[in-house]
Amino acid sequence: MTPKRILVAEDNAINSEVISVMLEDFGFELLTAGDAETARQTAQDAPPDLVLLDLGLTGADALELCDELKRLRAPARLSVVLMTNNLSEEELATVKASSVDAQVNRPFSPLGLLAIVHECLQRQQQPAAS
Amino acid sequence: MRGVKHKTTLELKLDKLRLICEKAPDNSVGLLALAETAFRRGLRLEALEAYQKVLRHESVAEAHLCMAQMYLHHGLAQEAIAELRALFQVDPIYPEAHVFARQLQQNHALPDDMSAVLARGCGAEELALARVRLSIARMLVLNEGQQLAAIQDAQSGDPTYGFYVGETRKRLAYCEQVLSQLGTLEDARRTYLSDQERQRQIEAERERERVERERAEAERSEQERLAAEAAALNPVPELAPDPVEAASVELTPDGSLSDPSGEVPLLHDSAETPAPELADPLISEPNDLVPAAEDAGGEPASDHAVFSPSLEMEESHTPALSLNTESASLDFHPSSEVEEAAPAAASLWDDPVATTTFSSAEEAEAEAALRPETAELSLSLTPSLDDVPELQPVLPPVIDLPAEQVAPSLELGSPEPPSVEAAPAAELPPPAVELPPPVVESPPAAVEPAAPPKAAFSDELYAALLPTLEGLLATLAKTRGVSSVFLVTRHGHAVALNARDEVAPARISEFVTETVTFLEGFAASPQYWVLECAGGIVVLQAVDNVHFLLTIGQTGANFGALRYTMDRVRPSFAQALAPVTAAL
Repeated sequence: MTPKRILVAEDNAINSEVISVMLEDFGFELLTAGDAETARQTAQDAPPDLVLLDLGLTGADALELCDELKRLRAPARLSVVLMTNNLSEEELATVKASSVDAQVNRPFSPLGLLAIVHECLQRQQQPAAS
Repeated sequence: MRGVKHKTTLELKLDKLRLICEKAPDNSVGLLALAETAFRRGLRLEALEAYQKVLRHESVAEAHLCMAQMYLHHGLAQEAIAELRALFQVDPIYPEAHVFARQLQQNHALPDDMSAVLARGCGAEELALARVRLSIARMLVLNEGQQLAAIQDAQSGDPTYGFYVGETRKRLAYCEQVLSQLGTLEDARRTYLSDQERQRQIEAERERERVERERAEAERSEQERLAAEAAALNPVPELAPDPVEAASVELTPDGSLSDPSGEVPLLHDSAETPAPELADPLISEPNDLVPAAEDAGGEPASDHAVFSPSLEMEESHTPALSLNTESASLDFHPSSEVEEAAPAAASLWDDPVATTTFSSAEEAEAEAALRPETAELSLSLTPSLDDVPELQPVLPPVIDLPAEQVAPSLELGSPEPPSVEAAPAAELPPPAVELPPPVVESPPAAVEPAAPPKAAFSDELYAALLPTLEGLLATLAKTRGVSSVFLVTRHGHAVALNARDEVAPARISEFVTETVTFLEGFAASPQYWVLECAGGIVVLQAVDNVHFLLTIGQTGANFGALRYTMDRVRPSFAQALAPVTAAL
């Protein structure tokens, strides 16, 4: 079975490293990108199944980048999890209205992140009708 | 194998995270990951230090929970409660915290604000994510335990590893326990929503009654005003109604005035101002109540969310709300009576006279047969005092009251008549609800002249049965978590009790009377009424048409166990009470 590919688009290197440590040993193929351009390029070269996208990623509006990335693959084949700091209600509403699949507040626990990643990937495997 | 360093996956991960945190000691993502990993590994001190660093910068639910667990592990319950309080301020719907708080509550009293948070329960989405988290945690712990056991074997049974294997087993058991208790949270959520819905219905019902009362009041005021105007317009002495004529003006059940003889001119025609009707659109019926999706907007957002249709916050509450009607705490036996409940409910709620309780189905039918007659009955607003002398002789001679004072109290049927033998009216049980002013109680002799006199709910009736009843109550009281059991009549008379709670009998009486009246507005023969809450459970069960068992349980009692025992004991109660029920 092909391992699920996860792209960590995060401009904070420490956070990116921690996330990689959190997700390793679970059979994922992990890619990292420190800015929007790298994220675009990486996603084109090796289309990911899931992107962990930093809301404040350098070089692009994260929500627009999410739309771009979703256009690279069939939307149902790519999940985007937005990593945020505390959002206001207005910001949260904007995020909910976007094409983002899930949102997680920093700092997140390893178990919390794994659960959300698991849920998103599980949903990709469900039939489109459901 | 000597000299080879053995490390588990978790330990290797821990090493990496330690290095990262050395590089960036203030990075909260790294610190939280280190703390959680150390905690999972059983390194509580390292975890505590990392959690404290995280919490110095921001409030994180997971950190508070682990801190609370560690405090409780060291016997610091109050500190654990303080952490939980801080946690609930950040995330009041964190399922793992709810489970922990409920465990804590079994041995320590939680503050009211926390109990309220627990009573609200968690949303479906949160519970689903918690299941995933716990499943992953269980898998990780299991994997860690297997690796540790393998290393322990390779190290020829090194006791250090043995300790960590034991710790892993504990964590595995804890994961299993929390997973299994998530179902309890779902039940709590359903109960909470059900209670909320029921509360809305009760409030709507009260509002409807208030509107009806005000309308009746306004109508009466209008009639009085018209009467005053008519009197002012017709100052001729011979046209003014004298007391004899006034006495013949009657109040009909629809609230208007009528004159059977046709001699007294009607001051106000009921056709001009129709009596209040049920179908009035201004009066909101309970059925019109649409359950507000209070959880959709009312609950604080969690720190993470998955925005799928299946996991959307708002939508996740829809099934929970729809469960209200299906899994409501009211548990009615399926019978034809239930299907007939709708019209019965309307009549019960709208006609206060109909709340008169029936001690048997036959009596109910007899009462129904008498209804048309009752509807035609009317009572003089200024009753004659001729009957008073007949009542006076049977009054206790020691009470030396003037006739004018005694007569009205008997005429109006006071809840506690001075003497059971005084008159047929005094022998009727006190009314289940207080009758509103416009409804004047008819003289019993006119309503049911041939009916045998009813026995009063006195302790004498039950005196011979008390040992049996108390024995049965003692059996019921042995159910796990049960603290008090009361055998109460539908009129609130406490026949027997086995109580460890400090509950005033008057409160029990009031509760049973009102609850039974309320429940019978929904169905002909309610069997169970259940309130499950954070602090315990209250179950009201019908024994027969007259008697009810009220059971109070503390934390730990559950309806399943209670119902099992109650169902087993009920036939014995019914059998023991059969003579009294028949007599009543």
